[in-house]
Amino acid sequence: MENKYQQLYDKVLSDSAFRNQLASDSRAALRSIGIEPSAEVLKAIDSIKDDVTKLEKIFGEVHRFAP
Amino acid sequence: MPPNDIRWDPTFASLVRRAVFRTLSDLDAQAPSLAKEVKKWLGSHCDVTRPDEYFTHPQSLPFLALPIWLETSFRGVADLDFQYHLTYASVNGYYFVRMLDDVTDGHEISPSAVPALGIFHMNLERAFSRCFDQGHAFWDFFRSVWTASAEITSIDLKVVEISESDFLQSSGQKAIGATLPIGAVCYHYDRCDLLPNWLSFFDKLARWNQMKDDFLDWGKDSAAGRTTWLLCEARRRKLADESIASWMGQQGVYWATQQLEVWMNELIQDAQLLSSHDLVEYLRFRSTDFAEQANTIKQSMEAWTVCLGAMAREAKG
Repeated sequence: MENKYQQLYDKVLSDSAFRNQLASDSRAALRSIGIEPSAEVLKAIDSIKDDVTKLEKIFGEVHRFAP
Repeated sequence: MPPNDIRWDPTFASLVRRAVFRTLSDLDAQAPSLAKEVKKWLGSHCDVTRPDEYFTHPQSLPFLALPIWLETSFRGVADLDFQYHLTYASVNGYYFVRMLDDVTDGHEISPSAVPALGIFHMNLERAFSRCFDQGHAFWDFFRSVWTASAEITSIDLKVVEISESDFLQSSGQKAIGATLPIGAVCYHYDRCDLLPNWLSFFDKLARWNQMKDDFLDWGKDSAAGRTTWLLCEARRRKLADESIASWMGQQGVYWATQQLEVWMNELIQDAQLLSSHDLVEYLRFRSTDFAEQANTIKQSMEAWTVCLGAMAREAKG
């Protein structure tokens, strides 16, 4: 996978702030890692926003319980 | 029990509420300046208007419920006055360990809150003193557990690499302080024959809980440079040019969730031998709840991988 897309893959899996930005402003999120989004890319991102939000809900949760 | 919810027995929830609010209200009355600092510190971990829910959250390690489940397993009922002392001791013991961890791990904590450590420790000992006379055999158990807790905390701070055997040996030990009320029940009712199996069970439960937290927090832990067994395994197993995140997405999620599933099945089998219906029910809830989380993660990651592959191909072509 091309470097920029590898970085995008990694950031969605590991970076809570990036997941939030991708869900709320995908254009800015993509530009922050050097991807100039085409209409097709934005459409593709839009189609998996629910999945990104689900990942954020699980991996981004701040613990409010006794570990 | 329905997924995402644990219907705690109202009596248990009330015990926890009383113990937590008594700890904080005593502090308010006797050391108001310190109490203010402690509440600020607590606010970084939980909702200070409902600090009891920190312990009864569905994802919490259920160390406050275990002594009740243990007593009920052989008596049919729990002595609530006795259990209140144990809950109060456990809450204070937990605050002691949590605050100490925050200090040693470099978390943000005002130095003005740290003297509360002495109060929490005093409250812990006083609560057990109400149940056991000086010279009672329980105090030997107390000494060995509390010493082991200090030892593992010290060792843990020096760890830079964790192997599977390190994790299996030490992960349960990190929460060993929570076995004090389990021991208290066994000593109080002269049922020390039950202690080894309950301690062994707790060790495995704490291990499962630690692995589950390490799995759900892997991104945050990786960014913060924290050492966990999962991240050590990721570094050992990934290809030289592969990122941790990529390994987690392709393999780590499946490896970790399978490991957790195997351990949870063992826990349920062990719990059945402990004759605690409540404990088995609780574990079934955790098992179902975690399986749902794991499925959501896998499905979302797969959707993301497919989407990204298509985007990358389009960019290329």
